[in-house]
Amino acid sequence: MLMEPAMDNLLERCRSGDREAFALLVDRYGLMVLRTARMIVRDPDLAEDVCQETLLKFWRHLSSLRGADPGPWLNRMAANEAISAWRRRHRLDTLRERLGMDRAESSAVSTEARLDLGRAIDRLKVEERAVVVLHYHQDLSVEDTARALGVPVDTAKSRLKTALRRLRELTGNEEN
Amino acid sequence: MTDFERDLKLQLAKEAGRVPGMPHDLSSRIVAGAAPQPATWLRAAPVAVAALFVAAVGLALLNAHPPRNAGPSLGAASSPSPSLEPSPAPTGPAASAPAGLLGPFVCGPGAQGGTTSATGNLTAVRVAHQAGFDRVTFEFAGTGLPPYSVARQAGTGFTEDASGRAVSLRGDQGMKITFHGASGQGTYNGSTDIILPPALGAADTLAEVRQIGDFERVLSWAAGMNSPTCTRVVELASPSRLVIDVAKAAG
Repeated sequence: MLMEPAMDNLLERCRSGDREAFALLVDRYGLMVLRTARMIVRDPDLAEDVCQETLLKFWRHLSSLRGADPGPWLNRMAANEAISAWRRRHRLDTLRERLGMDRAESSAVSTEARLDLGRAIDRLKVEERAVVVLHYHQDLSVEDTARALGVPVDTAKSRLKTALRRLRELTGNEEN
Repeated sequence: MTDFERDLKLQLAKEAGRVPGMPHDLSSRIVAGAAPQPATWLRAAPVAVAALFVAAVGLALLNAHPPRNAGPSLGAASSPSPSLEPSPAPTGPAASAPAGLLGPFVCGPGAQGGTTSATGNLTAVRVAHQAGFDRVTFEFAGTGLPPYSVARQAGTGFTEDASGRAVSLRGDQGMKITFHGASGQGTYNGSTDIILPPALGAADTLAEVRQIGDFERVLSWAAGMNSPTCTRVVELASPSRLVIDVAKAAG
């Protein structure tokens, strides 16, 4: 039985410009990055763009990367890239969110039709989705989620609470 | 954790499962977009210049003042340099060949590995012809890669677990892959009998991959191959995957 090449060996090879080693890292972490991006941006093409940008940034910043496991770094970068990419793609939506227009409209919809959980997640703000994905899918603590997204812990807690309340409203699953 | 939060976790896991693998063209685009590391060139350049300078001076001195009993001048290399060509895929039962960073193909009776304490839920099985080898990948959600064994056998006759029914796969050589503490029930929705189309212009080896058991957390799959070849078994993480490469016969 053969184990995968040691991570420190792969990283060192990447730092010396070995693209074959980089291909192995893409093979190892690409799917994780793609899934994180897809769950946050909810768009297959945009998720691929995020995945590509994240892994190329990883390649470009290898010399300053610390630690033996690039997984957490990639995860953090994927989530932040996904938020930025979504905002660029949905500038108008972002403006509406800032003006508070979306909430009023969405609340009106929720009283008419209950959504399934997947569609309800679609309706969250992108920052809320990122917190939900990191906390509930990747099992990061609230503190680690906050650290990954570069926001205060209280902000992460607040986003999580808002996201859960919103999901319950949209799915008609009111808290007992 | 509330029931609602559990539902949310399940929903997210389901969404993740809808992305079964990294698209090959995306991987290729990413690797192609990786420009040479500038820092590497900056680091390497002075060393290379110094080495060339020393070599040139040494060569000039040796050619001007050849030592007693000297052999050929250093200007004419007397020993061949190592070949950079990739090694061919192994073809004989005792052969093994280096195959880059993934390790060599090994022609023994089988392999075993995984994490003793890990339990896994099968989420995907992918099979594909590649240049020089065929690849089958088992992907798991859970606490790691469950303990597994890979056993080669002559013939493609297997016994289904737990029915005891005899099944025969395509090809004439077999391989059984058994995972302990693993199951695909409720998590694997793909085909349980994957028949590979022959690869154009290649001596394809892997002919069929089929589930032959999923009972009491023992998950068994079998593979039928067209020729006795060597294999390479690699464990990957995030997500947990077992990758088995089957070398194609030369020809």
